[in-house]
Amino acid sequence: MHESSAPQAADFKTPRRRCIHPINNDTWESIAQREMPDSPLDDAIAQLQSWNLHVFARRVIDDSTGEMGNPILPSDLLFLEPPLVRET
Amino acid sequence: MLDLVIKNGKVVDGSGLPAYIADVGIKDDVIVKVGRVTEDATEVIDAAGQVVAPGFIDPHTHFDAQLLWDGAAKPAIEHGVTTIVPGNCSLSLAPLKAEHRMKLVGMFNQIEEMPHKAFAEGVEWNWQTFDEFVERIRRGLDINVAPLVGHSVLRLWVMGDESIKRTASSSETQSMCDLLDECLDAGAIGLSTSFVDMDERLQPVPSRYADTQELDALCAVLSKHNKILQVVHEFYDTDLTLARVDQLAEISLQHGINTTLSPLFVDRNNPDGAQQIVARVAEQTARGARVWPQVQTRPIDISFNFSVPSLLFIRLPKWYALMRFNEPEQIMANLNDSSIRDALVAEAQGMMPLWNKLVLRQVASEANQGLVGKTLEEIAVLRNSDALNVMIDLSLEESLEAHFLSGDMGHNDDDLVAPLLKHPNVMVGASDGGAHILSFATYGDTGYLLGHFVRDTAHLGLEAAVKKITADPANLWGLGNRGMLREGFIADITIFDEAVVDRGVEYFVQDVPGDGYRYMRDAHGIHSVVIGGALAYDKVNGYHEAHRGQIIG
Repeated sequence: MHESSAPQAADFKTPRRRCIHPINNDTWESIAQREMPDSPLDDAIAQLQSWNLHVFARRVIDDSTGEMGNPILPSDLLFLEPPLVRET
Repeated sequence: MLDLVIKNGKVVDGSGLPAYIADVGIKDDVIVKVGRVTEDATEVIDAAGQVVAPGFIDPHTHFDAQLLWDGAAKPAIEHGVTTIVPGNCSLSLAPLKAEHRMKLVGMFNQIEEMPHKAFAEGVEWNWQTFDEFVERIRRGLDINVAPLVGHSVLRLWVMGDESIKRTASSSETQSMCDLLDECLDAGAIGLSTSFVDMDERLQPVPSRYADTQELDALCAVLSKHNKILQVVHEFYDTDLTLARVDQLAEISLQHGINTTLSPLFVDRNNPDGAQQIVARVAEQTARGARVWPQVQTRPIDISFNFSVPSLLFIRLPKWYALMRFNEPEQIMANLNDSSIRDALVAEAQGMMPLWNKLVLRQVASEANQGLVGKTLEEIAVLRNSDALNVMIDLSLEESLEAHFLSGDMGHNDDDLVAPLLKHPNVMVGASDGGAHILSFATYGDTGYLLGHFVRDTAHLGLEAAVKKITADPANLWGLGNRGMLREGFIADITIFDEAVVDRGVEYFVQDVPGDGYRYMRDAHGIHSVVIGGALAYDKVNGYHEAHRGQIIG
């Protein structure tokens, strides 16, 4: 799954934070290019990583290098926007 | 002639309807009458003054391994539980090829804290397929078992070591679907998967390498059998949980299946989080989706001693490695080495507020008995030290037999938990029964529900609470004619004293294969437990070993 197949935010009364599942072999760069094409690449990557610390800060063996890294896993959820401001 | 009659009890039949006084007549393993029973019976139980309810169902357990040496899943039955669902969180013990056994043992050890020695000395590895596993545990079964099959083991079977490296090819996905199909035919009640768990190398478990196409294909198989999907999700984060609710809702709508995610905790620092999740679930339910969060009844606490790797130390690599990879003698030698001790103290210094609040709960020596029940901060004042060094000193003085309790770990605000427990979109579950045996007792959640939330604080009515742990899970997990006291239903029955029912205090006991220990709780107020029409337990005689437990699939 690449694009969430769920209904759009307008279909819900509860606030919904936009997110995706990665496409096979997705990287921060490929997601930034695809999902945030209007932003400078470096800025988009930095924003994506800041919104997705559950992935970015995770230490996992990156099978492409055999080294510890922070690869995106196929089952991950990745947010495309910052946390929503909620009424308390 | 009936086999068993339960006379004059207060029948709480699992439907949620008001209780009434009646008899329950049983022939073979079936309830044949609920009302005034005049027919003679081989055995009669006088239940006057007692509640007669359907046997409790625990839908989130990890008793998988224990069932291989204990067909009663003790102490589940004595707490009134008659049916357990093992195989949660992507981990089941079948299907499992011989060459993958130690890999799976490592995952169970890491994720569910089941000791390696328990597997080594308690398990005869004489199965590979799910069918063979079911036949293996069916022998001598006292409790009913409704097993899930784990997504990670399906991947391990089909992909081997590649299961923790990459997505599956289309042919591998098809092989997993075929395998799941076989498991469901053999008695599995559904599939479990995990989006969060790590293996013994602290690397993601196989199910986390599955893409959505793979999960979708597996759910199509569940749909064919009308079976449930269970997931353990990023429960520590509200936004991620909301997104998982949406994901499960789409799966449910596409395939027409029930889905459940566990656990759902309340967090005092984010009191609105759980309510937002429940609101999203209700919204998805209104669309026709079936997404059911599970909430546990008990507050979170963790007990530990230094001889085992506690969850409390998971973010302290030096500490965790010390306890994870060393025998007690080596651990003591390390703690007595001043340079190693200094490094450990330095690593844990930042968590001093936590260490200060720890309570010394158990020691072996007479010399330190007077300190039991005090916080480490209090003991530190007495010893002119600090909590961290006191914890190390006490562990050395007690040859690592000093036990510490970290209470107040969350999920302990009744005003936040109770609304979840009674919410129509939330299931009571997530006990983790049989897991984390060296960190806390996962037994007695139903007693805590009935004692604390029903009797002591009146947050729930008795009938509503019983429905939450009987008919509701029976319906959702597809357990057939169980979970209610109705004619034609299977006679799984728990008789208890509502004025007394509760969980007992937690204690440490050596009863695990391999001279292993676990934290345990006794039950209070359980009078008798009937499984498959026969007495399985009563408070006077204990376990009856009737072996009437069934595989429910």
